[in-house]
Amino acid sequence: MTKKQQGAHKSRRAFLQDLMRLTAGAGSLLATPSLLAEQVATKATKAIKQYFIAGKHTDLTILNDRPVNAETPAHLLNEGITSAERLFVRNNGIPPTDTDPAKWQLTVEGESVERRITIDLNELKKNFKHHTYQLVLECGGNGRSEFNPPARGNQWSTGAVGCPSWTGVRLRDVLNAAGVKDDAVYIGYYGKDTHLSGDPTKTPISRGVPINKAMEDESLIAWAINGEDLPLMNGYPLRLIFGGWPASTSGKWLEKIVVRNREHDGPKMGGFSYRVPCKPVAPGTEVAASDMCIIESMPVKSLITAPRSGILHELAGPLPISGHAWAGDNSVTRLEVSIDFGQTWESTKLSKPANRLAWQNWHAEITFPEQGYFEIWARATDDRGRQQPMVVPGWNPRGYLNNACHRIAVRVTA
Amino acid sequence: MRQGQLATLILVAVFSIDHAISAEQLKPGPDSEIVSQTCIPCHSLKLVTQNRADREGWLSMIRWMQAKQGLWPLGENEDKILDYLSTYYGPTKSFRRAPLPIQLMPPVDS
Repeated sequence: MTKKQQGAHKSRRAFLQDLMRLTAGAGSLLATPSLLAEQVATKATKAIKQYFIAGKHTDLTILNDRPVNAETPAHLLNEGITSAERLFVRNNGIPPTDTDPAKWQLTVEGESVERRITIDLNELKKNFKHHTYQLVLECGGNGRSEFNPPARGNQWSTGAVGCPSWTGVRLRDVLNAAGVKDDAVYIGYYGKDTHLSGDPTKTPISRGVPINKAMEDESLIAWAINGEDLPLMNGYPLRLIFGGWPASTSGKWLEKIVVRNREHDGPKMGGFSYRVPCKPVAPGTEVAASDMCIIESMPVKSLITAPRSGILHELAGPLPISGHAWAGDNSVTRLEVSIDFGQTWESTKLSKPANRLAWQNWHAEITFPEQGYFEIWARATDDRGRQQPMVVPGWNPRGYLNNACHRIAVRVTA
Repeated sequence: MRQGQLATLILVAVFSIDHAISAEQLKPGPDSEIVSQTCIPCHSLKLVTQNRADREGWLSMIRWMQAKQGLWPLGENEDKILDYLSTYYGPTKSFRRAPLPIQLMPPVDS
């Protein structure tokens, strides 16, 4: 390539970068804003505003508007406890419009309960002991965008995860009020959301968890996030929360729980949804539905949430970095970072979780050896010695469970 | 004697590979013959088919061949060749791990 062509290529790339930042609605976040870029950004932000979701941070990335799905850029997840407005949105159907809490009822029934019960939301709050836990909620498809061959569905990058503080009652206490028979195997949920087709006889999603997960201390029927009502898009006024499992198990707009004497068979329990091949397959393999197994606990994973990717940093000073790490039903024992693509790793300061199934915060300071382009990679290790892979892990038809190391880019300057 | 047989075998194998390479075909498509005719005077089509680039990338290869390797001016064929190559030998996105997306990259050097 000639010098002139390199110049042309560079300016094209710079232009593309600006354009991408604008379309991401992040004009104010340009690392080296020019006046013109700022003006354009302001206009672009205004134009994009109409797609924002009520009650949600305006910089969430909208992946889909019917149904509404949005993820959180990594740098917006730096809070130790994720705020409601920053928690991702994943819908399978259309959220309900009638969500009056005064009229809300929860029914518990199924083959494996002693008696069917129906409780008002107010009775639920009055009659059962309240519990508050900080719990990781992560979509099973978080990271899907990196799989190759591509998997269909919402192309989540890294932002379908959060760890707010949830308040509610233990699912176990409510199930015990209905009486759980010895043959109980699974619980399933039904919510008030409606099918995308508009067909009122169709249920958009009805998943659940095995009875042992349902009976854990941290498995909640929750009405509050960080001490406030749930946002509508996150299940107002009532939902399930199972920390560390695919978020699709944590049913929203919860109206009914069924206790089953077999694996629950609601929509999106079977087929290819929220399942991976029972035995590993080569990328692109066609897998029979009968060879697909349900995802349970999510794998070890972490995020670098500060600084944001794409910054300039002066060589002279250290760069403080921080983030979170989590590991499904397990805990994280080590978080390391690398600035040389994994040739060497440095340990960071990793905190204990606020409670079981909460994410753990980590921080470090990085000193760069020279100017130039660097990527910071973060790698968590769980209490069973499992580490995040540096490449995208096992391909699967629907693109679940990508726990590859998160990375951010930094240009170190004079 | 054994060595002689081995040498013959190697020669046959090398010849077969060479033959296979020279018989390399471009993917069928509009103007693929113009592309073949332009490329094969100097090199095997294997050098084309193992590469992937967008239009700009193929143009830079053409310009390099014109500057260093004696490729003649392509005239009205240039656009046809670029259309063909960028369509049938465009970049593939078959990564185990792709580079960071452009919106997450630091600003370029000014």
